[in-house]
Amino acid sequence: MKKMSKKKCFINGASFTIKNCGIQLEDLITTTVGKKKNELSLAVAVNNELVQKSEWKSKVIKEGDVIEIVHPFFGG
Amino acid sequence: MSKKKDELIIDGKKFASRLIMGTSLYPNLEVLNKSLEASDTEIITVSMRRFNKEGEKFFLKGIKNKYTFLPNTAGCFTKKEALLTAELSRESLKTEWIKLELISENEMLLPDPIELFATCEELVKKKFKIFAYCSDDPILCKRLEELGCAAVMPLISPIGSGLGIRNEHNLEIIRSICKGVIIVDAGIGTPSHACKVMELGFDGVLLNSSVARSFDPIQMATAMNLAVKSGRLSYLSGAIEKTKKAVRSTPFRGKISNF
Repeated sequence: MKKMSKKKCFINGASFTIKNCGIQLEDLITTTVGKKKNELSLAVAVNNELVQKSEWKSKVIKEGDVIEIVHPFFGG
Repeated sequence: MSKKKDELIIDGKKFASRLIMGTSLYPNLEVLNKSLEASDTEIITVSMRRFNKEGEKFFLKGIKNKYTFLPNTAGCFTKKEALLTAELSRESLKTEWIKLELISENEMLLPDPIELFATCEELVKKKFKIFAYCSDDPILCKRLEELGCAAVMPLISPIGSGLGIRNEHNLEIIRSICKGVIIVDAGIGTPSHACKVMELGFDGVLLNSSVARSFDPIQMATAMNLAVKSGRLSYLSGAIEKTKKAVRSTPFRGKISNF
């Protein structure tokens, strides 16, 4: 039987292991942020492009993808 | 006869306060909130940063939702970074407002006018309402205004320096040639700086460090609030002309004879 290999993507600068077949962006956000993901005014970019909330479910994250999950913070 | 309300109008929205407050560098959330309250501000600036627990606390429990958010692109050096940050902030906060900051180096944090202008051109096409943080160059300010920025925001000295007005003449020229919303951003150190800016006829003041890093931020926020209001009232009242010689205030007529 062929062994399932594990591959990596990058979330907010840290590496994250994903299955060979990839993972849905929404699942990845839930894993990273938790249940409050809908309350936090999150915005997400994959490979330097905005992914709108309506596309989180359909967007599949593949090996080497660079994901940024951001929200409002203190600022001047 | 009733007097017309003096409101700050940006992007068709009306504000009673002309003081925009930053939310960074405060000792804690309680002092931040009390300072915002004391300032009477209605617009506050925020950044977009990677998700973390501290940020979660800030947004969910920290800031009252009565304020209008003005997200910034602080820390961006390139058009590419700024464009993505603007897109992320629009998605996150459901606002087209963006305080566009594009700095050129790390010591003085001075804005890069070339990169700024090019980025503004792109953002205007994407229907953003830009608050352009720029240097105090009158022609640049005019060009940014003509490009369609919602507000042009020249500095008066470097961010966080507290140096106040360094080139008053430039500010006078900016105010005379730009007819739209001009808000001074960066360099305010004391309430007298804020008051002077308003006396020059600017539409508002944006500040952060001068309150947040002061010994008593809440009290300083009150002082800035009064200074901005005072400067505005002074501007609207029309100050007297300066003369080289004294102009008597008490009438001479009727004085007892000289002896």
